[in-house]
Amino acid sequence: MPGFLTWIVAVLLMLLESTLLAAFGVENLCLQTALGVTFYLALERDFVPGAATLAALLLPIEWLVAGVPGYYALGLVTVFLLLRLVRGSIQGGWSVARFLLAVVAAMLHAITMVVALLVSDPSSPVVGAVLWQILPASLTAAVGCLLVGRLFARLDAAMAPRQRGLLDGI
Amino acid sequence: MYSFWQTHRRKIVAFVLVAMPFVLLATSAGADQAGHPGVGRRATSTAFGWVQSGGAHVVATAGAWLGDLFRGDVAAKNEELEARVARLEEEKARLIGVLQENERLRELVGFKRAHDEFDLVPARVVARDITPYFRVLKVRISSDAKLEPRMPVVVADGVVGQVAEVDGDFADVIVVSDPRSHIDAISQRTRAHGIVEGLGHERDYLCRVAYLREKDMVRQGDLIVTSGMGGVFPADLVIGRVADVERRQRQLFQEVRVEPSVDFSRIEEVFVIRGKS
Repeated sequence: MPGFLTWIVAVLLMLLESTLLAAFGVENLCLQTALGVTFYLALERDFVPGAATLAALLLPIEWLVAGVPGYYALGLVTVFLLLRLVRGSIQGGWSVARFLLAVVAAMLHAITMVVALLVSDPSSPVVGAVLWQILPASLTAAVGCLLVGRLFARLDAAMAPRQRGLLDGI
Repeated sequence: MYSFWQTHRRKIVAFVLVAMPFVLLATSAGADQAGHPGVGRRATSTAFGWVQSGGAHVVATAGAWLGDLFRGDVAAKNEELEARVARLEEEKARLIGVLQENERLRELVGFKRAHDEFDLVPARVVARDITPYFRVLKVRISSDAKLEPRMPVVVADGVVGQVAEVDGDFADVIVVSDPRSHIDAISQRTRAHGIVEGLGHERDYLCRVAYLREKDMVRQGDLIVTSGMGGVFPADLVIGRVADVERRQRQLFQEVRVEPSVDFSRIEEVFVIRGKS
């Protein structure tokens, strides 16, 4: 799927998530689709298109997060770069291995935010809120990563069916 | 130029990616110090707001349609009589929905009448933030009124939070339980003074009262209201009730937790206080 389409689908997913969260009032089931998109880009895209798409997504993500500016994006970039290091050692397919990796990635994301906040604003009460929710947020985010990953994999297959057939044959 | 890009594109993209969060940090993601967003952000945010607003409408319609479908399924099994019952059920559900909306609106109107000293602007909740770490509502303003950051947001049950940013017809509202929220408050019974801070906990919307002195005898169930100091919230708006008090020896302040009077998971309409009318 081309980068701009990935960007559009990602933004639509995040808008849908924010709308559903408001409609049902279930903030504890926040899937963090932004993290899911980062996870997908890191594992399934080449570095340049993946990084460029993520860079283009950071601004809308920050606006939709409506949090302390920059910290959430910093966590996503860290997760993206770290996942690039391990992408060769992770099983293909959106299954248990990737779920466990997604849990670790979500924890890394939260820890990056905490470290950045502690460095720049040690007295920020956001640190406590992030630490308090690190485990449940990681689990729900991992589910979100799998859902987003499967969705994008389907869209990729739909956009380039021939390429998929060739690869499957090998 | 092209060959330069081909040779160095990995480095360039990596640099841009790593630099972006720091640029966002330094520029407050495109907003100025007063919380007013830039032109690009305002345009995009308004477009997002329209999509979210449309999405909220679609979700509500789809929910009603699925409810109808389910009821229709049951009706098919039980022929005509069941169909009639289903129809009545549907009408009843709609009526209950209308009554609930009516009750909510009555409460809001009642609140508006009870506080006719305030210039209240109605707004509808259309979306939320997409992380579990913050508590932000996106609202759509139902009039042409011009809002500003830091304006208080309330419902009939009490304080919701305050406006963080305004993008055209839409505004981000930081809820009382967001870890960035600080509201000057007093205990209604003892008039003890403190600052209500959000905890940002996941399953509940608990807050804490900071800087409440050890000798201020606050107890469970005490009503916490806005003090009127600080220049943001008017006095005597209900924030919540004391849920838990923990007194610590040899410490200046006690640990008091407050359960907000507003159920933030069920808010649909809010009022923004623009000032005195």
